[in-house]
Amino acid sequence: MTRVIAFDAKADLLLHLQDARDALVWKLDGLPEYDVRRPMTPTGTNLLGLVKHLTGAEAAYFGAAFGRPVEGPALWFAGDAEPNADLWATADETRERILDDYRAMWRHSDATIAELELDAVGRVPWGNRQELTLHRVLVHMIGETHRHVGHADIVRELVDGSAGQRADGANTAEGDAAWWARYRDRLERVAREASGEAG
Amino acid sequence: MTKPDIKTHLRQYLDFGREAMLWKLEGLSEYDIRRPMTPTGTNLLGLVKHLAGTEIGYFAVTFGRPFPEQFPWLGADAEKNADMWATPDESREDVLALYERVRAFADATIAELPLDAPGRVLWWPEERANVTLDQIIIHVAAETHRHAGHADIVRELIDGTVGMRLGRENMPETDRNWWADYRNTLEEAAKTAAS
Repeated sequence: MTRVIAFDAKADLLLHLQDARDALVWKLDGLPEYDVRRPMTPTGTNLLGLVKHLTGAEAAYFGAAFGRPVEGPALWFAGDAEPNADLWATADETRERILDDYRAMWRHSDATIAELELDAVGRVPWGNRQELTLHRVLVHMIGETHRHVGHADIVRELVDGSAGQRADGANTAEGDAAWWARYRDRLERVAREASGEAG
Repeated sequence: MTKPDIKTHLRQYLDFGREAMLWKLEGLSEYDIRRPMTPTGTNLLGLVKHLAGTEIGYFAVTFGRPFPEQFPWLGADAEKNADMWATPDESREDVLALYERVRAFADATIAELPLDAPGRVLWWPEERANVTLDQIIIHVAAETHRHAGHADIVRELIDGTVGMRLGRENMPETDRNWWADYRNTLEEAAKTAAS
């Protein structure tokens, strides 16, 4: 590659990261305390835990990896924390605090991104301390954050039926509850047919 | 360390998402890959079909490189959500083979064009419609990861299988009892916090 990394490449990457961060925080909007915490899968996936986990991930990737340490939830696989400790909030950790910490972490990460070049080299703060460029870390965190937002999408829908891509645009088909119920029934019927069961 | 190869990083993360998505269907019955697991009908084979349509839009249409096949479910007259589920006459093999062809087509676009190659996303607002290839790769990679996240939960709800990607599940090594206890701990903490 001979292309010079332009400033707008960095801005575009940051836009995609912020898009996912905003979507995640939005997924908790309007839910009562219980619903932001309740585990919705056998492995306990819950909304507030996803926020806490991504706060820790940004601390590691945009902080420690580039010699800019910042306090954040310890990632369970990276140290002494008990398994999955970063994936749920204890009863005495408030939702406000966890969301504020996430937003504070964005500012710390964004300063790293602003101050370093995309080809600046960091080292992941665990294992064999693999070298990574800031560009690669950004792409990694865009992927990781979007994947967890995908978890949040389904968890939120299971909690109260809300779905949508982002606060200012759902990007889902327009249909009322009755339309969605018919649509879902049809898919269920088709799935049974395709598997050889009588429809 | 060698100079970072931007295109390779972008391609790699697009592939991580694609591979994770496909892995989520492995070993499941015909019924399970199609059954709707949320009120809005989220299902695994539909996610693959949707992503195939997505890559045609972004890596073919956007760069004026027409994909050699046309599909009624991508047309203007398609019924709502037609790209989000597979009809009975579309087999699992059909959908997976389509995704493979589309991936190869997209990879050729990525290989043949420079990262600053201009494109136009016809369905984006005018002020954002003019794009470059690097933007589109990151956009599709992000979208693929978000849908892979949907697939993670759908798969777990179907048969309890979890993990980041084949060979690197990235989950703590524990047994079923540990997870049941863990989930109970979370449920109790949620109730305490809410009381």
